[in-house]
Amino acid sequence: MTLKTSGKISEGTMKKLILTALIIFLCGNIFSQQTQKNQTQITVKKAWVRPAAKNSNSAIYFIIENKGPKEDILLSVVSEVAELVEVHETYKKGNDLMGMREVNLLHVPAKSTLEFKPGSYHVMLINLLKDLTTGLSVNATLNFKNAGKIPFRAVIGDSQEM
Amino acid sequence: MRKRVFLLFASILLISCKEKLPVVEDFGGVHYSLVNQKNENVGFPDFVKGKLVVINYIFTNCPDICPLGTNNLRLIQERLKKEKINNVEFVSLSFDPEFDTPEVLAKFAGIRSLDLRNWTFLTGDKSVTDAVIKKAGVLAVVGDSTVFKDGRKIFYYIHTDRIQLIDADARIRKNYKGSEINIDEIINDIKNLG
Repeated sequence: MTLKTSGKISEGTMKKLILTALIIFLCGNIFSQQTQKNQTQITVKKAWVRPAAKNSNSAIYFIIENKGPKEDILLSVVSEVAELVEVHETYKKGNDLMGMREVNLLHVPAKSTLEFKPGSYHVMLINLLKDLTTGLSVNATLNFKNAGKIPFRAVIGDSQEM
Repeated sequence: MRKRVFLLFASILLISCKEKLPVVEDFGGVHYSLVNQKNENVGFPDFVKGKLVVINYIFTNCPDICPLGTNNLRLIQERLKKEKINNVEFVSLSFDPEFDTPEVLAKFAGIRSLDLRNWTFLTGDKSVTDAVIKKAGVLAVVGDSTVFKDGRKIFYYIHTDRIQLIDADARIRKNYKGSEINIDEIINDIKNLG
């Protein structure tokens, strides 16, 4: 078997080289994006949700932990158990008045935790599509700007309040 | 002699403890026609007169503060059961009666497995519930709202976060922060009034 070496790269070989380079570039880019997402390292812990009847409202509580080096932003929350899902905040007004309002774009700084707890931030489940009975659980997903979708499960019960 | 002095001292101490709870407001001379969670007509405070009452003020669309206060009533009820104190009634009155029908209140209590043997949920005409909360010194005004795609709307109230202790003569004797009440404190107050 003889090997021809003309010193020139044929057109076919050139195409193969370009294609290979393109594949390597794309793979590298995807890997880089994946690494960036992993860097946010967002986790959800200790999730629980109040028991409530169908057609009423409830609230989900949990702790968001951001172990990554960059801030992330909570854009939205979804769950199939309610007609609408919003992030709300309970606030004090005056001496002993309490109110509640919707919150958009909640920032979670790098290397920090953000607690959703009674009397503070909570995920509001508006017009429940089914009864939330103590002992069962509901699924929900947090949607972050950088980390993307973070699904989690919340246990139904009042025990965390005691 | 020592025993008599001790008894005298204990009596003075007991009386002074009772005196420490001033009358905040008096429900004694008034009558409100309301409806309970079973859709039965109820006269408040007549139906609880002669008993101590622990009352909170709620709207069931509230997912955070009102369930906290209601859960605290449950914790107080459980403590009283353990300590075999039986002369206490529990009342949760809705200041959003247009949404909180008897059926809604029954579901609210049922899903939480509340013991309704000495616990009544109350609703009624808005003018009447407004009159009750005004007398109780509780404020509830519409704040934020949610509008659904089809135009339905639910309201969230800015409201006083309160639990009250009412004595056997229907007089409010003490206000507590509903969501953060100290259970030991109200149990001691109940013992002092009982």
